[in-house]
Amino acid sequence: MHGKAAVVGIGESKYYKAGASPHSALQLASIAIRNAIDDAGLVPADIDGLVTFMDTTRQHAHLCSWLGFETLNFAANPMSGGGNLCMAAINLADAAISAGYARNVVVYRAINQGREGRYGRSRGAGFAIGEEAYRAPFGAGVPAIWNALLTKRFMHDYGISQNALAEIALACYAHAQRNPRAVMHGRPLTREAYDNSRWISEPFHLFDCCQESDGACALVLTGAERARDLRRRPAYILAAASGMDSKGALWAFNDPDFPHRSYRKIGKQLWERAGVEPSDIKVAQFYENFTGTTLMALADIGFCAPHEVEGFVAEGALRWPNGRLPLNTSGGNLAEAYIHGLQLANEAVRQIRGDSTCQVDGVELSLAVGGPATPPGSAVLFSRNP
Amino acid sequence: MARSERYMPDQWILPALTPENRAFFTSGELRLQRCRACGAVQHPPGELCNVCQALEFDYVAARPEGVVESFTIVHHVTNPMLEQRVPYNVAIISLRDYPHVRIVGNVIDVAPGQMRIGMPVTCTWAEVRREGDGADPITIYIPQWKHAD
Ligand SMILES: [Zn+2]
Repeated sequence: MHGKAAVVGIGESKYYKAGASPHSALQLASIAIRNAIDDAGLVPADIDGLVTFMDTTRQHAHLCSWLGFETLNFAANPMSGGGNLCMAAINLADAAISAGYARNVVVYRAINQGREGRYGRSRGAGFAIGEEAYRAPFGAGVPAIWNALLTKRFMHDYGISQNALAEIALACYAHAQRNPRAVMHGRPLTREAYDNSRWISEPFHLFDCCQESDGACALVLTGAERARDLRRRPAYILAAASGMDSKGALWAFNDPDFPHRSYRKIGKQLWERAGVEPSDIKVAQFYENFTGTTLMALADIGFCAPHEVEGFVAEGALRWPNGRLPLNTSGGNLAEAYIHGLQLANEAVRQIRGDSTCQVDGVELSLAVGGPATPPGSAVLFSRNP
Repeated sequence: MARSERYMPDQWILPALTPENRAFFTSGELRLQRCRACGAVQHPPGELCNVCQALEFDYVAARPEGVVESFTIVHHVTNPMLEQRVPYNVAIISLRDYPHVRIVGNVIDVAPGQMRIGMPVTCTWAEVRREGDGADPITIYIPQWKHAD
């Protein structure tokens, strides 16, 4: 179940605050993908698989024509939720390579919220369809509100305070100060500024919420055998998992696991497949669309029991270089950029290569978790060794 | 049916009606979908039963009583129509009769600082005339909640 594929190239565009990019999503995608292919020491004609997720621009299938790929043997664009699929996209590419459907697969995500609409804005008038019919008429039309509802109950059930939420934000912002790619580079966050920032949807302050961004990132995956001959140190996929429990996606908070999400199953599968345990992990990238659901993910994927979360993250435990589990070492969704979470995978690969701006010493295993509020969830565990 | 003024602005977004949700949004009751084959009650109403996968349903009215399972106070203006509405609450309510059923709604008579998980609530309905979308005009009943003593 492991070592079948590896990430051999990563790339990104410049990351922008939403609306600031001079380039369209398609242009941003082309920049990131070209950079990732260059990084791998390959050329576009080598690529025969293309995976993204939640690409609502419907440009995905056309991209290979623009980028100079010769043949496309595998293409996928899963659409279910949002950032929950970011590591599932890597899982898919690994599956395609392992099954022999494609040799060299690009995974990418490109977002231009400036042009396509900002994720934090809700529709006002008109008629809500699907799941939105049960949320939007009550003023619950954006992810911040849905995640706040989950987080409020999670905090209530397990005795979690605002301090724990703040720890996630402070770690991400601290790490972004060392990362010149980060949109929030040069914008340090203090606890006082966190506390004084305006409420978005309680218990979320402004700094509990991810950014709205324009940008793109990409990864090139190939088989573990071929990976050895390429120019960068491969980040081998030790295990990946994506899925949810039965009835995990019943609409409008009617899933039996409320307020938990699908991480318990993802964690169980990931550790079983990898043959390692959370205590073996020294650095992790966790999707944080909002800080609260990241706390839930940390507990449910297996780092601690839910009632231990407050202690697990306290007093800088998630901060590089001295914390027990440096989290989101490039700044994450909160402070690097929000490329629907896929940029976290690029950072997980850097930790394997040893060239993160918050590099943890002696990284053998590097975890990236997608999520959270919409099932199915996803996670990938990279290894330095095949 | 107890009536209330709509908590959200007058022109605020309404549910699009479907064959499945028409009973819930136009009856002025907490009319829930019940599977004819196995009797399971599910919400939101779906196209098939999530217990036995049957496709035929009838509808059963729950008593208008529930409990706040979670809530948030929304301060951020996510749409210009809400500028005068913030801060407002959004709550998840479970029903006394069917505790596994959770309904997203608003508690319309409780100040932000007084909202509590576990608070008992009763349901009232805001009546909204829906027209202008090409369909025949129809009255939509939006369930809204009040603190129960
Ligand atoms: Zn049934």
